[in-house]
Amino acid sequence: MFKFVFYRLLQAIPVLLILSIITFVLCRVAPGNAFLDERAVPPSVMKKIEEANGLDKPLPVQYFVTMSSLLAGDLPAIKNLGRTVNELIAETFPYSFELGLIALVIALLLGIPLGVFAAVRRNTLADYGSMSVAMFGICLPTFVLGPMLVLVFAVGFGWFNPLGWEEPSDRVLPCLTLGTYYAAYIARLTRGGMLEVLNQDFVRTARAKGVPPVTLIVRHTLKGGLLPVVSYLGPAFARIISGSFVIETIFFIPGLGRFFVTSAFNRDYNMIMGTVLFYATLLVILNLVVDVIQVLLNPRLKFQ
Amino acid sequence: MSTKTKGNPRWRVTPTQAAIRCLGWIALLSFTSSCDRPSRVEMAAETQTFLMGNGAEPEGLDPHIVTGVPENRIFHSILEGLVGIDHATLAPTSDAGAESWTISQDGLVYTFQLRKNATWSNAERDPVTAHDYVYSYNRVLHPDTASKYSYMLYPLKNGEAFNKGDLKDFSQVGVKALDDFTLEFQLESPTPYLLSMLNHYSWWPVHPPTIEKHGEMTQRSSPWTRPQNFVGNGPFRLVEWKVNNRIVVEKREDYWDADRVKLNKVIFYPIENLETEQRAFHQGYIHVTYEMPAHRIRWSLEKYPEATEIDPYLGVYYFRVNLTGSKPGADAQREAARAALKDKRVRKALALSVNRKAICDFLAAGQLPAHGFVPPGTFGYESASSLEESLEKAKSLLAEAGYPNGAGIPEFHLYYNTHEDHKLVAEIVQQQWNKGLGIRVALFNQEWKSYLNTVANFNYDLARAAWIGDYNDPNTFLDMWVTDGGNNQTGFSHARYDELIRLAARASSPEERLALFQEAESILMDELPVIPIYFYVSKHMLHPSVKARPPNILDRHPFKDVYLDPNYFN
Amino acid sequence: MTDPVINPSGKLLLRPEDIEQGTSLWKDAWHRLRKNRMAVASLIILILITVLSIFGPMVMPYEYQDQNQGLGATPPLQAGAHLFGTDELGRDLLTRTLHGGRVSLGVGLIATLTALIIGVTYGAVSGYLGGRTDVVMMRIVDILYAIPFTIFVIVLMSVFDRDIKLLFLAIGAVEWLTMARIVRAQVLSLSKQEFVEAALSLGLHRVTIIFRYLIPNVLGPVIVYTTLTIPAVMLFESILSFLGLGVQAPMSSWGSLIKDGSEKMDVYPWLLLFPAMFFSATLFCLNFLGDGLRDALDPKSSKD
Repeated sequence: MFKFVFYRLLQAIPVLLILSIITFVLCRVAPGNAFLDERAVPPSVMKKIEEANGLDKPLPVQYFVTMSSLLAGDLPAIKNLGRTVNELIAETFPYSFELGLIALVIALLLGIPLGVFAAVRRNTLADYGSMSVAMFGICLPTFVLGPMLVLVFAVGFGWFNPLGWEEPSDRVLPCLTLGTYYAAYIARLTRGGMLEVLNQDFVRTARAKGVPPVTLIVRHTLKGGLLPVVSYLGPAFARIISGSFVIETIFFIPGLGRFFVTSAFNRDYNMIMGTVLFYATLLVILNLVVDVIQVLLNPRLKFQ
Repeated sequence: MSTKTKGNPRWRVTPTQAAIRCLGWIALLSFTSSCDRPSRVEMAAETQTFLMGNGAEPEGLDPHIVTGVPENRIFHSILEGLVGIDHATLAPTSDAGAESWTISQDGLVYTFQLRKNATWSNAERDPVTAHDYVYSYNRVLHPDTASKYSYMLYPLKNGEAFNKGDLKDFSQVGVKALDDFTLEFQLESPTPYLLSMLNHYSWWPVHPPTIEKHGEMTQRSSPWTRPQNFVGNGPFRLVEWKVNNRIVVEKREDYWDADRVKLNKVIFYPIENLETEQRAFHQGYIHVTYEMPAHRIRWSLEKYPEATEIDPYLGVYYFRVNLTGSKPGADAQREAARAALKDKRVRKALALSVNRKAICDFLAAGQLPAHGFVPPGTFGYESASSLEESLEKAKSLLAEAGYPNGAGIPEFHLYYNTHEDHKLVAEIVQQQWNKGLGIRVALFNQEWKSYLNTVANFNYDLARAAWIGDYNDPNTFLDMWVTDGGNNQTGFSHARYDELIRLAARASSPEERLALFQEAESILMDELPVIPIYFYVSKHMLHPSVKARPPNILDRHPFKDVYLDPNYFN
Repeated sequence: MTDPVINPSGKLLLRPEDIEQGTSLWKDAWHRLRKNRMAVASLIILILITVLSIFGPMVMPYEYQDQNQGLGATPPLQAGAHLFGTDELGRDLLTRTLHGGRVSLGVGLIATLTALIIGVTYGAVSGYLGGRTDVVMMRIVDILYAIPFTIFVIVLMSVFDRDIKLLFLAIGAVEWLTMARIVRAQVLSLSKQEFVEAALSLGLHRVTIIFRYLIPNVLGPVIVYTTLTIPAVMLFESILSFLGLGVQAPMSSWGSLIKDGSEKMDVYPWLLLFPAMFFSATLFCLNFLGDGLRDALDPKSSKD
């Protein structure tokens, strides 16, 4: 297993390298630049600004400078003057992480039981009912559910602040909004995965032998039934903790998620590179974790 | 609504939908109901803490580098220029850095007597001296600083030459410290709007030792703007700056005019989402919103008339027309479209067939139909030209140009940056042109930078644009249309127009200047490289407990005098 | 009905008669699907919505772009024949909703199908071949996951003219990734099972094994995830139209109608309500139909 993990981490190096090159090229090809303004900037000024940001150098040099200063931790953000990319990520990631983690816990606590319940009671009213609840999160996308919750519980009843991330109660609405969305996915995938397993012969045998249903589900089937959920969770977990642009803007949370979108809009090349590589690293690690879990859940698989 | 769901076979859907509807109604009803705990706005009145929605995270807090409106609002709290403004009329006042000034007979020499008791916010309380101003203007104009607003200082003698690198010696530039507290400007030409310009932050000073401590004078980005390092001369000091979260400034007791400052604290929230900001306002989280979405105007005016603050604003909304023709390699459609737009009659037909009143009625915030380019209320200016909207005239012009009833006219591409309000205006005009003239227009929205790039590279037929005055003078609206002007971006070039703008800069009397500008504007409205649509208004929700914050045409609000009335809540 | 995969006569599967057996699988499935009342009801409603979307706008007294500014935003049934009311420009909401259905159903269908084909094939191949090929293929997925999407679309827009094909390219580029991961994980676990080994020992070609044995056996999770992808794609379209890709004003889509409506939910609630109703109804039906289809295709379920 350690060999497996080691090799996978080794594989991350070319992944990040290729990704950084693609990102670099995309940034330079994108129309406009970070300094373009509604008020036209005279060409001579634009030239000076580009010089000050090292954009006059040959592209390979620019790439090298960007990457080495990113690693050294002193890559300046273009649109947040006086701050470095690393500093901004370090400052904003904890918010996104907290938001994502709570939301994910909500999603799992809500989604898995719903999915299992629906699978066990398949094609009954209970199944349709719990799936309908799960569908709620998909039919009401975050940009609808979020404002709706705020209007009712914050503006209406005054139980919560309509925005911000200061008091503990400020966590409730955004985490619930985000959690509901993922819960829907997880419930659907759990139901599907459980059905696969419930149909297998060993389950029938166990059932015939009179193993109590709860034991059967928890001890024997959940492991296999969660397989699709687990493979979904790898990238989903990376996405959820690196922040959600929609949730963070709707609830005015100073998280990292906003930078994924705004840095592209601002053409903040350095910030784009920073966030992309940060996200990719998370992704690689979490996918690895997921792959390990998959092997642990499924005795037939081996680390290879 | 209920008739629709009744007898609906999709019973599974109904509960969800019913829930949505219920939630909506609860929200609506409870908007007016009060909750038990006091809102932040209510508590703020006790502590005199002003809570502002401030649009976006500032790019930085260096007044010589950044260009945005959110930054501008913050600068009004932590920095101060030479000349103040009357909060309502914007007339120059002597309640800022200079306690008095004299202007020479020919209007070329300004001498400012600086206030001796004005200090910087550093621990040593350095006095704000004339040398600081000279240093600051050197910084703004220095080519290496590459300040985007350096052109604001071009009225200074040799300012432009120094900025463009043609002149290396800054002592030749028309700004001098005669002594520690006397500052003299030598101007290139009489600039009647100079005092009005001085209220723009590009003219405001920075603290030289602080700049030097954290970097070089011309360094575009250094840690000097961090709260722990920042030194300013305004009524407030910067105490906290959390990215995408808030900026907090606190009253400076050592500010020279501290008695007039009633607020103890101002917190700026960079709330980008307009709806989030609205909800924040309605729950009493902030005192004032940065903006207001168009679809809320009618609703707000009806439900919260006392809090809906709508005022004329020095800006014009217009469409650019591409006069440069098509580029080599363009397809036949584009070629035909650009060729058609080079025909003045076509442009005129487009301009005359826009029903501006319908658009303004729709926007509902008291925007004025723009039949000229310079907004009404621009200081010392009266527009002399006016587009006479007439569908009949437009039709005959179009027929004259060879497109009777729009027959054979190519489809135009109208570009706008993605925004709900721009989309609506584009949709209305699209329909007006289609119904009125039989002209087809395809709409293209782009995100901001792509849109700027499209316009700058002339890859459009028509493009939505806006111009907000930098200062209160017609010059800011008219000098941009000179041949190859940086902000022209239409390809418009007219010898007489260029001459008029040049003459206006040297005009000896206000009357002469006015006449020159009027002629220039009428040329613009005859040639129509732009199709004006409406004149802007500023739109905010402002809590009624906020006092002494009168509206003005530049929507600039100094923080002196502003206070929060605790009696409002009793 | 016996499981065709573990049919002892597997040797014959390569013969022309197989096709017949294949069709009988589908025929069987169809037969089972018809017995699932929920699925049939869903199918009927889906067809109804599709027909309404295609033909509805033709018979409506209004065009989707017809403005009536004098009317402004009116609630349902208050003016003229505006059953769903009108938007701020006085355009008939029913017409716009139906018209939006064309776009959304079209995009949802085509883009999801694209993602489905790419994702399933890619995942199955990667999972089945294993070894180095699998490693490389999965690392490519990792890279694609992390590509900064906003800037990617911006570049796409600047390089090509506006084109509906771009929309599918952009959506397809993203949506197949998770599908591929899920399929790969399933195939990985399946390929270790006896029947695959058996098929191999019978000398069947790898391609045959993948398409014949493996893919049919992962259809369950695939269908579930597909039904989750469709709503994601429909909403995704509204995000892309922010970047200028996708439907252009004054045309409508469910995604853009819901997005617009969500901003005005407390001012003009009906602008959100009706498009959301159509959207939700479609999603619910798709899900129940998907579940039914999954059951019908599951060879083991017949034994229940």
